[in-house]
Amino acid sequence: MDFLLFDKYTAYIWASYLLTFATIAILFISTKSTHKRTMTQLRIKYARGK
Amino acid sequence: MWKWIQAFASPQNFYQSSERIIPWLMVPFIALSLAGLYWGLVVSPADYQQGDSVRIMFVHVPAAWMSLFIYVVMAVAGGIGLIWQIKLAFVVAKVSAPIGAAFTFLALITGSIWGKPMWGTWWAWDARLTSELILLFLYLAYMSLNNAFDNPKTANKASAILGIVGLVNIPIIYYSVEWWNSLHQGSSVSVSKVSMQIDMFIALMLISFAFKFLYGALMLMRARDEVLVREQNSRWVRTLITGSEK
Repeated sequence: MDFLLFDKYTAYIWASYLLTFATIAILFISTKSTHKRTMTQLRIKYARGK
Repeated sequence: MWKWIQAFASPQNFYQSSERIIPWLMVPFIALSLAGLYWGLVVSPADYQQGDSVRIMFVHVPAAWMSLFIYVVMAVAGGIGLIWQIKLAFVVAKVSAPIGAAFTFLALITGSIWGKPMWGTWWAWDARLTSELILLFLYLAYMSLNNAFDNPKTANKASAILGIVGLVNIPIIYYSVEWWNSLHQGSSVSVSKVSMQIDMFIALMLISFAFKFLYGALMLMRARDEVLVREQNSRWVRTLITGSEK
């Protein structure tokens, strides 16, 4: 696992990669949750016969 | 070609066709990301000046490129919507904004993390950094303006105009390191030259292409959702949601 240590820059490098991963994950989760919410709202709307 | 574009740009056709395209964007994104991580963290050597901190560049630079690329896509899509009144173009512009803002945020934050050990500071009011920050504000302004109107047509037009006006910031960001005496380093990659070690270049390209595929997939996923909202009074959306025609 030594290849995962980058001398005095380890924390900076892993912080950057984790933030990148987190940003991408948030983009996916928000996209999925928005879609789920839209589908629910449209189902309710059509069920009410609007 | 024009007929194909018009057919694809119809909301119903787009919704159905895009579902088949998304997996073809997700698979390359995952494969290129894994390859890029391996190349960037394992294969690529440390830089003779920056040491291992150069590995931050493999996410910082592609994120910065994406922030510019998505803005141009957003502004051009808005322009197409204004000129040819293609509804889908406005949808593409609208859904691109939060993705572009996320990449701009990522470019700024990873640049800041790199700057601390290299420059000794998290932030400097340098021309490149400041113009990139302005880009983030432009994305946020675009999103706010788009949500500020009840009438979607007015929202489309107003935000498209803002997007086009904001295009002026793109060459400023790109040339800022040449026009001003900047703390930020100049370009290491251009069309005519690559001034970096080959494994570093491969890592940079792998992650850069991965981000392009990611943007494509996210943009289509969000656009499909936006199309459903905008077309909710159409029969095809009702049929799609309820499974029956009323």
